[in-house]
Amino acid sequence: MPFVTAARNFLANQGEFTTTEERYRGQMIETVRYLLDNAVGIDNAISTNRIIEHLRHEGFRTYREGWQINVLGALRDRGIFIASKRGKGMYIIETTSDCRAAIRSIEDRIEVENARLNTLRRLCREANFIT
Amino acid sequence: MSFVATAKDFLEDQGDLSTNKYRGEMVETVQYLLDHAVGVRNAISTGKIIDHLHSKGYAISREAWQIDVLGKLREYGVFVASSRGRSGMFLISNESDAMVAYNSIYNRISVQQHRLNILEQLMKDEGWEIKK
Repeated sequence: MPFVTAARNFLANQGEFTTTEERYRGQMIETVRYLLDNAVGIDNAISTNRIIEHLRHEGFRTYREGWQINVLGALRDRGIFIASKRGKGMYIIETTSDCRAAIRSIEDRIEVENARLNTLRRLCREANFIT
Repeated sequence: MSFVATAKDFLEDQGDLSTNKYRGEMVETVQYLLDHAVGVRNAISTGKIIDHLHSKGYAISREAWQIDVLGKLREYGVFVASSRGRSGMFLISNESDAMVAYNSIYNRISVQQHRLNILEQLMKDEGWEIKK
């Protein structure tokens, strides 16, 4: 379970942080701890709202968009791979099946974004934008 | 037709979406964006849009709104743009706005592709089969 191990290792040692990242260290640790306690494996996925509520309950003044960028994004950059499935929530990958689901989920998102990009290009042409 | 004109037309005629379960939420969302979020400078957060819908009596969750309202509106051609930097949604009013929207989508694709590469590499490192 390399993903679970990486998350546990993060709790023990977060490595070096920049000054900006340092502000979010507490939220990162609490997020990982909460996921390890409650959301290992896709069947235990929990919603972003529940994570945010938990953080607020723990005294962190956070909001969804800020958490996504400064905590979730930063954790992923550090190799703590928090997977997500639309309609289910966030989870730490436990099995190969979880991992495949995470890959499918990302591929689906890329497909949706590519379709959106094509729609925007078409609408820009129709609006006579050069873009 | 401009992005704003398309949004205004939608208020008059919802076309294929006129029988959609979320038609009311769609109309109210577009009206709210036309009133408050034309142009990237006026981008408003998803939370504010959801709060507004709740204040109008629509009990919709953020996730349902993103999939069943925002997604459907975009498919239909009412292009609600988003900008991470501005943390919000907006209707495109000029070419510069369109560029912001384009870059925002492009960046999201790059981030997702990067994430996919990491995940596939981690699977390979573990000797896990990617395709079943």
